[in-house]
Amino acid sequence: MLPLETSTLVFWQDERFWLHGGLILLVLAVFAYVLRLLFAQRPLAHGAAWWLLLLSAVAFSTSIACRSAEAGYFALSNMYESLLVLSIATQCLFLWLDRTFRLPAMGWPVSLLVLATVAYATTLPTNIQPLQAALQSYWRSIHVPVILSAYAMFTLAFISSLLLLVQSWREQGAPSHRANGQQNIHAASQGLPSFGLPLLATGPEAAGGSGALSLVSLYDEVTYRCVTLGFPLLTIGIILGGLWANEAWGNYWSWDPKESMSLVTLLGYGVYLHLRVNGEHRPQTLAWVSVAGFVLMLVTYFGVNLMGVGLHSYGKIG
Amino acid sequence: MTVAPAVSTHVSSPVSAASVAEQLPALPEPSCSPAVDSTVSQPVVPSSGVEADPAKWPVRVLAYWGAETLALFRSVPLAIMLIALLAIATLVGVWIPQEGLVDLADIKRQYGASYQTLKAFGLFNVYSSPWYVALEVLFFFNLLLGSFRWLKPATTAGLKRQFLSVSQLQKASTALAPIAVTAPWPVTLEALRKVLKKRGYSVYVQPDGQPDKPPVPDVSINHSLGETRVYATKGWWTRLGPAVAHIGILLLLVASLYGTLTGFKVQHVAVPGETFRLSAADRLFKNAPAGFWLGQVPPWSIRVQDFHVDYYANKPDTPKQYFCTLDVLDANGKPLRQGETISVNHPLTLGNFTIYQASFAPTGKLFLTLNGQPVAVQADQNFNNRPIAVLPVSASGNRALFVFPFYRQQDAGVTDNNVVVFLHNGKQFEGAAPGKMPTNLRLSEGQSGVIAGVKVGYVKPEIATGLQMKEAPETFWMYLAFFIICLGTVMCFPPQRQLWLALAPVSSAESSQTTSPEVVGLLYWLPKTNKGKHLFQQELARLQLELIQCLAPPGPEDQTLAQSVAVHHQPHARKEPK
Repeated sequence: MLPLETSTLVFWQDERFWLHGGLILLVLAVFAYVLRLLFAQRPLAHGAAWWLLLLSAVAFSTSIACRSAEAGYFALSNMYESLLVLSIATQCLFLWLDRTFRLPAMGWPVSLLVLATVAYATTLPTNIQPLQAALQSYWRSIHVPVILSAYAMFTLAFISSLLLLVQSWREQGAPSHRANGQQNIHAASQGLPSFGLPLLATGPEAAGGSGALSLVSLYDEVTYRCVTLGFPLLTIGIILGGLWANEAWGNYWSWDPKESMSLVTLLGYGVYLHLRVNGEHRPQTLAWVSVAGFVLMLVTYFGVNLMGVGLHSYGKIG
Repeated sequence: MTVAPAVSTHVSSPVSAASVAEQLPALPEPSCSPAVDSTVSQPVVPSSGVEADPAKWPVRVLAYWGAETLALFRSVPLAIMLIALLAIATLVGVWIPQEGLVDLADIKRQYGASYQTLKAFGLFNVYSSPWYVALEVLFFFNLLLGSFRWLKPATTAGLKRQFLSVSQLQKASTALAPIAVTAPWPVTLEALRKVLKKRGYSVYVQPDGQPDKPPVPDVSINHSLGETRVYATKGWWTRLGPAVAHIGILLLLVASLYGTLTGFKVQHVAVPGETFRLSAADRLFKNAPAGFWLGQVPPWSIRVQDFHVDYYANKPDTPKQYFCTLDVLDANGKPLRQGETISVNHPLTLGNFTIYQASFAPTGKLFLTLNGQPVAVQADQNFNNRPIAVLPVSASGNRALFVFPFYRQQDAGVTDNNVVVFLHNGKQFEGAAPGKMPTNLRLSEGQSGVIAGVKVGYVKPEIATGLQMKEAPETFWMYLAFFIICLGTVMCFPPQRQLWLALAPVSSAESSQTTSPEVVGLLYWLPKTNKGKHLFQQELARLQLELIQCLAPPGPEDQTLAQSVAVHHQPHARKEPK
C-alpha cells in the first residue's frame, strides 16, 4: 500500500484549486450567457457573462502556472495540459471576438464546449511526467501554443459556421423568420428576445451600424475572420515545428501522421480561403467547408494520436 | 464653419452616434472589382490574318489549345482542385501505414494478399509515389503561372490611388448620403484630413477635379473653390499578403529542389573512441539519384570521444538528455572542430553541415573485471532467447561465466544497467538444484562480487551513439521562405479600407432652394472594404459622427440647414432597414 502523499502546497499553489475554481466559474458563465440572451438589455447580464468567462480563463491559466511551477517546466506536454491550454486560448479569443463583434448567441455554445473540453481533460491522466529529451527545447513553448491558438480559432469558426447554418435554415424554413430576418437584430438591440429559437436568434445587438446586415452575413464574417487568423497561426505553428524538427532531428518534415494531417488541415482551410476570393459562393457553402476543416482539425488533434505511430506519440490519449 | 449630415430627413432630434449608426445604409459587399466602373480595357482582337488563311489552321488550333491550356493551368479553380486533391492524397498517406514509419512485416500481415496490388499504386509510399509528385509539380506550375496572372490585378486593385468624380459617386449604388458643407474648401479639407488621419487613413487629394494633375499626398491644400476629389485608404499593404505568401511558397519549393539536388544525409552508429569517414558511414543518402545529384561529400571524418546518458533521478528509466563529445577532422586529420559536445536539440553546425544527436543503444559489449583484470566480452550467445556473454574462467574452457546483461529502458522494471552472473562448470550451473535458482550475482555498474571463488566486477556496458548528419545548402533559402510565408499569411489578416470622397460646390440655383444660403457644397463619399464589413460599418458610423463633432457640433440652426439640404440631395442614399 502506497503511503499517503502529504502535500506541502498551500491552497493557492495547488493547481486543482484553480482548476476547480475555473470549472465553477465556467458553469456560471454558461448560465450567464443564456441569461444574457434572454435579458439582453440588462447591463448586468451583459457584463457578467463576459467577466465570468474571463475569470474562468484566468483560473485555468493560474492552474497551468502552478502545474508548471511544480513540474519545473512549461506544463504543455500531454493531452490533459494541451486541452486545458486549448480551452484557455478558445476562451480568450472568444472574449476578444465578443468584444469586437458583440456575439451573445455564440457565448453559450463556446462556453459549453470549453466546459465539456475541460471536463473531458480531467478524465485523462494528469500526473506530471518528466520530459523526454526531444521535448526539452524552447521550441516546445512556442510551437505548441501557436498551434493550439490556431485550433482555438478554427473551433470558433466552426461554432460560427454552425450558427450561420442554423440561422440560414431558420430564415429559409419559416416565412415569419425570413420576414423577420433583419428585425432580429433590431429586436436584440431593443432588448427583446426573439421568438422561436431564442438561443440562436439574437446577434449583434447594439452593434452600431450593423443593422443593415443580416445575421448570416455577420456569422459569415466572423467565420472568415477566425479562419484568416487561424490560418496564419497554423502556418506559423507548422513552420515552427519544422524548424524545431530540423534542430532536433535534422529534418524539417518527416511525413509523420501528425505532420501530414496538419498539412491536410492547412490545405482544407486553404480551400476555404481560395473559395472566398474566387467567385461568389453562398455563405452556407463556405460554412460547410469550414465545418469540414474543423473535422480535419479534430482528426489531426485527436484521431492521429489513436494510431499511436509517429514522432508526436507523446500527445496520445490515455 | 459647419458641416451637417444630410443623411436623413429625420434630423429633428439631436445628432448622436447611435442615430447616425442607424441611419447608415448598407455597405457594399466585399469585392475585388472596382467600386465604380472606370475605363475597362477591352481585350485586343487579333488581326484576322490567321483566320483568313486556311493553310494556317494548325497554327490556330495549336494557339487555341495553347492559350486554353495556359488559362487552365493558371486558373484559381484548378488551384482549389489541386489543393483539395493534395489534401486527399496526404490523407491517404495518413490513413494507410507508410513504409519507414511502420514495420514492413506488420504492413504485409495487415494487408495480406492485397499488399502487392496496393504497393503497385504506391499506397505504402504515398509521399514519394509518382502520382503524388505529379500533383506537387502540377501545383507548383499552377502557383507559378497563377501568381503572375491573378495575383497581380488583385494586388494592384488595392494599391491604385484612384479618384472618383461627383458624377461617378452619384451613380454608385453603394455611395453613402452626402454631407452638407458650409465651410470654405481649405478649412473643410483640412478638417477632413485630420479626421481621416486620426482613424489611420492615408489621404490623397486631387484638387479641382483635374485628372491630369498628379495626386497631392497629404499636404495642406490652398486652392480655389471647385470640385475636389479625395482618396483615403488604410491597410493597403494587406493586398500584398497573398502575393507575398505565394512567393514564399514558390521559394520554398525552389529551395527544396536545390536541397534535393545538392544535399545529403548520413547516419552512423559509433562507439566512443571510433573515427569514421563520412563517405564510409553506415548509411549515406544523396538526396537525388546519381545522375542528377550535383553535391559533394566533404572528405571529413568524425571522431567520437565520449558518450553518456543522464537519467531522471525520480524516474531512472527515462533518459533526461544524452551527450556526445566529438571532433570533426579534415582530409588530413586536422581538426576543424575539437571537443564539441552535442545533445538532443543542440546540434553542431559547420556552415551547411550539421551533426545531430539522434539516438543511442547498447552494443552488447560489456566491460568487466575478472579477478581484478579488465576484460571486455560481447553478448553474442543466446540463452532462452536472451543474449548473453560467455566468459571462460578456466584454461580448459569448461568453467565459464554466463553473463546476462539488463538495460534500463529496454527491460521492464530495470532502473539501472546491471548484469546477472552465473558460473557454469561444463555440465550445470553452480548451485543448481531442483526448484532452486542457481547461485548468481547481480551487479550494477561499478559493483563487484565473488561467485564460486571467482571475483567478478561490472564496469559498464558499451553504449553506441546514433548520429545523424546532413549537408543542407538550401538552409538559408528555406528559412527565408518560411519567413516570407509567415509574413504573407499574417499580412492577409487585416482588411483594406478605402474611401472615395468628392467635395462639390452647390450651384446658386441649388443653394437658393435651401433654407440656408450658408451651404456652399456637398461631400459625397463611397466606402469599400475587402473584408470585415460589419466592423467597417461601425467605423463608418463613428467616422461620420467624428466629422460632425470635429468640425462643429450641430446646433438647431445647423439641423435645419441639414434638413433642407437633405431634402434636395439624397437621391442616391439607400433606404434604411425598417
